[in-house]
Amino acid sequence: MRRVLAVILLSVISMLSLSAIGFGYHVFEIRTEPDFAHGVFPSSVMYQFNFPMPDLIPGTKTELAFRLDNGLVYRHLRQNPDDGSFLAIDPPDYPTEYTVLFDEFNLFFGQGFVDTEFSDNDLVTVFLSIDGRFENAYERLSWLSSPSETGGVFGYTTSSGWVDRYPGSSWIGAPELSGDRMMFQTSITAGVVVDYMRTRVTRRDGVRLGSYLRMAPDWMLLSDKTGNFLASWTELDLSKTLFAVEQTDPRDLSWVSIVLDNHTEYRYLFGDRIPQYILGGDIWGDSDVPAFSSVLVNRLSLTVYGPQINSRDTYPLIMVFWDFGIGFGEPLNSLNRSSGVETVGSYGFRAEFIIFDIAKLYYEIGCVYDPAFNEKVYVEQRFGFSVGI
Amino acid sequence: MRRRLLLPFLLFTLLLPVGADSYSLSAFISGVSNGPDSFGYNLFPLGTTFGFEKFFPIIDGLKDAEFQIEMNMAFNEAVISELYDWKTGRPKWSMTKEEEAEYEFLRGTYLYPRAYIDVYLDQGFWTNPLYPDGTLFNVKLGFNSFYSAAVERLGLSRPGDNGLPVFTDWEGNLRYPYTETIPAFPWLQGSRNVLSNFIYLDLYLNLDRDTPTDAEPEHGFYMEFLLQYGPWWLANNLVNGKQSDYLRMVLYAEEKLELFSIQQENGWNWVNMYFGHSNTLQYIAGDIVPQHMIPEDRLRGYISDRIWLHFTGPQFMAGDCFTFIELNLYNTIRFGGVVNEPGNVTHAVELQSSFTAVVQVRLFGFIRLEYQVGYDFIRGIWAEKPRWWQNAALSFYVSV
Repeated sequence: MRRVLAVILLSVISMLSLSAIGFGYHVFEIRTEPDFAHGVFPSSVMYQFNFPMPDLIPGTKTELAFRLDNGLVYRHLRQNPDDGSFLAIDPPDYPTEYTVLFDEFNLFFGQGFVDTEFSDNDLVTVFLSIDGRFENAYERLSWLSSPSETGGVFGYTTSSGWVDRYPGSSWIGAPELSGDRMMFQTSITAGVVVDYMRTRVTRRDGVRLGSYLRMAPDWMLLSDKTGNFLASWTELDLSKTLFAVEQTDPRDLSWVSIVLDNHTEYRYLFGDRIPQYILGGDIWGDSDVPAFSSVLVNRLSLTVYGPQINSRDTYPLIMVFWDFGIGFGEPLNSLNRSSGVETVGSYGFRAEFIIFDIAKLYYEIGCVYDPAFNEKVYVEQRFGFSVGI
Repeated sequence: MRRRLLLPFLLFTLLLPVGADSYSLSAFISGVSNGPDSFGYNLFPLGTTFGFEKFFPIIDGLKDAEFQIEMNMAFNEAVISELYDWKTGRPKWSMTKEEEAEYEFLRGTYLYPRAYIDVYLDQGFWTNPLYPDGTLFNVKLGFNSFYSAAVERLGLSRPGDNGLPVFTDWEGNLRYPYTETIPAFPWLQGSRNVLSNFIYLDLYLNLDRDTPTDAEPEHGFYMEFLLQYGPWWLANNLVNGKQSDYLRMVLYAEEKLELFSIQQENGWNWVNMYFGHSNTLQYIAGDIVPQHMIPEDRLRGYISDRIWLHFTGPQFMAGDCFTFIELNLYNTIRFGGVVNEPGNVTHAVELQSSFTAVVQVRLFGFIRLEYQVGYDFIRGIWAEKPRWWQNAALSFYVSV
């Protein structure tokens, strides 16, 4: 009955978005995973259909949209499912990586205030969305592909079969992985974005500040009660073009430019069942900020852009970056309620050649110099080609 | 590494003309729900096709050429056919009782994650007399790169599944015969990671009307010739041995005649009807046909004749909300050798005739409610008693 209700409600929500079709749509983000098709082909994509909406305030943007995000991502188990203790304190000798098939939808309303003229976005935009997210978690794609790949995060194999690693666990440390490792949660998200960023692909100047609040109590309609949380996060982007040589043509291209960017994100999470997808705390490398109630990450980067070659979206770039993160407060999804603090950090270099904003050829090398707790310092390099936008 | 470099090179070559002017592309998206384990109640998509297209001039005096890049990903499951001997590629239906005793088939369900990137350039010539904004004749040149993997069913690691791995034992050792070359299923040998590329040439003649939605009556003549070439040297042999080496040809022609059409005041349709007829000829030559190009019953040739009568009811609420009824008569002959059978020993002919009546309600281009009833007459390798059948389906589409 519950599923029937879910289908009916989701159909209604879908119907609401239907008139969007044919009126406007765009792709926001295309992601790849190194283990899927060598990171060349897309593994997940987020896109949006827009309702035909008149602008409620003349000169500013009113948006009613249905946003969908779906595909495959890899994720790490960071906490012991039994008690929520951090696995990074005593790193396990088995793989912690697993596969998540996911689908998130948002029915989204946004209203802008004050047209900035130089940007597609208004100076201030407030929005509200109704969200739903499905997830199914499995072992990684390479699991069981060879004798060295038999260990899994959820179990291990013997000659006679599969043995659960956490039988009978209450899955305190990863609530959405309990039971059949499927989740369906619904939530409401509100936010405000102040955008005074002048962006011209290879040149950026200005500031953008976004503050968001997501409420996902377990009494939300249709939620399967694997989540019960409140998350707020604030993102601040500062950019300054330090140097630029413009091309002398009407298309506003540049020969070379140097841009300094800083991205700061602070996240406060509250609740007794907080799913992995909302935790944040990502830095370059696999060692992310442990799940404390407060998480702050910062990226400082300097990018040197080469010439835009006959198109504003074809250019090379070289970037150096420094990522820093800190988690503090109470550990989340844990029986241990005493406050703690932990820092993580990495730095690196990335060279990239972007072709019409569709294809990217890149090389990057970085060092996680301050991994979480007792994980080891490591250097990693990646070379690849990806297609997307 | 060579494989990785080939794709950027080919893409870059095809992308070059796009940079002729400032850059902007329009997007299209299509998602269909198809995830494993009833993902998202089978309602929301897990797998999407999306792309970008741009129109720009290449040759003076001609209409703009179209550049398109299309990408797709999907993560559903596949079942290994038990109908083909894995070593010889011989189909079970061609064997004598004695031969069947030696027959070795494979069995199992596995996850089939896959993705493709397709890029093409399409130049039209002259003007379509029935659609002045369109072109009469088009030449399309494209490249398609398809990646797929065959991995153990993900649900195998879930509590209470109690299944067995297909390709390995529980200690990760490959089971026989996955240690061998598998001519009938080349995508299941080696690492089971497959990259299969083809180039294609598509020529088509448009002497038909434009129909912005499927609710308008179709009228006119259309003809298409498609040639897909996936030779081993197109980076199709670098990891697991040859993964494809084939040539596929399709010739298609259709004629449609509007019988009547009554419109509402706003230009929408009240009722219309048209009559259609089409023929398809397809043939696949070559030693190794990849998984996504395997024809039905694995027979190389295919000739089809279709006659149909299409009735469309009123458009309501939105342009893509309407009902249609379609009566179809199909006659299909499949013939020739069996693909992926070394030596091309087996040949067969099969006749499939069917009558179908389809009632479909389309809502907002998003939801399709369909009821179908049909009568099949099949003679040849799968000879069956003529039978009536019916089905109903609710499909969820995101398609723009």
